[in-house]
Amino acid sequence: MVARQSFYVDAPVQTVFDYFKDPNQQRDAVLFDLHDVKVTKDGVGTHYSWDFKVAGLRYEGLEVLTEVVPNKHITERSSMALAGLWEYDFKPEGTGTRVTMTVHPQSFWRFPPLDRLMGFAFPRVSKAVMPRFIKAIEETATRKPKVAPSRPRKTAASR
Amino acid sequence: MKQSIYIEAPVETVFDHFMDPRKDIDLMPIDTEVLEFKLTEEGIGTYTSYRSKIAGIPFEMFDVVTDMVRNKRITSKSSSAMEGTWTYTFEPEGTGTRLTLEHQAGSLWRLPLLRNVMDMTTSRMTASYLPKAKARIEAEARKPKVVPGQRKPAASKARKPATRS
Repeated sequence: MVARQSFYVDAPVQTVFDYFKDPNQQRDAVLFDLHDVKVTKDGVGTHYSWDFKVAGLRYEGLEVLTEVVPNKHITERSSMALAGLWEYDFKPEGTGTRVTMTVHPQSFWRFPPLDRLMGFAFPRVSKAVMPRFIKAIEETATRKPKVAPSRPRKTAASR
Repeated sequence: MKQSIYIEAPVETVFDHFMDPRKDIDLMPIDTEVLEFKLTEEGIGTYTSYRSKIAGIPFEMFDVVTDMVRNKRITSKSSSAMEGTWTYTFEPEGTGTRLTLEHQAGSLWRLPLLRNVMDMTTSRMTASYLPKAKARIEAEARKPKVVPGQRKPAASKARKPATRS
């Protein structure tokens, strides 16, 4: 089963896309420790490791961006079978961006009844977690200096 | 687990071979196929996904090149804790290359007892794989290189002079 969730961010597509393309920008919003971040020139191959502790046990994993279409789409592979393969789709909407997240669990998480459990949990978890991301992106957008409309520069000849 | 082998081929050839897992995936001790391979411009971030079968059960995993120094070192991290991290070191030796493979399992496989089991298994598998990879690289290095656009020597193309009676 594929789980899908969509949310609106009041920020330009470029800002939202850049946020998901660069794991460094997500440090404050994620619920785990993020390390060994390497961002590649084209985006594909950008990767990072993460870990978190639950009841004293440490969990760790690896994520990599395997497909990057500027301002449109990102595919991310996770070492955690539950997360499996993530897709982010970006579309302009009003003055902001509509982000659709689709998760394709891997391994035994694809089989019933675990897939149904995933389908049940994903919208709830993302509803709880996404406001942190949305807030972080919108803050980034307000921090970014707005680019002034380009005007022809005065040249010595025009003076 | 650490193993080393001498390969009679230039460092560049050996390095290029290990940057592309498709070149010897058929030599792996476990039945494995490459599903996706993406080579990045900078080498770091090069991504490969695989499907393996162990006792008939399919497994999917991927690895990412997390560190690379051209013709010197490749570090590759796997999504599978058992596979963990592999480091390939390339050093010129005589007319060839000394290749050293080092493996470190991740997660629970780092615990003492499990680590011993893992080291023993990977040692055996690597010992079976490395001589085959060596033979393939050396055969590849012996092949005459074809330079694009290069013509065959004129002598081989020269026609026999017409003999008139």
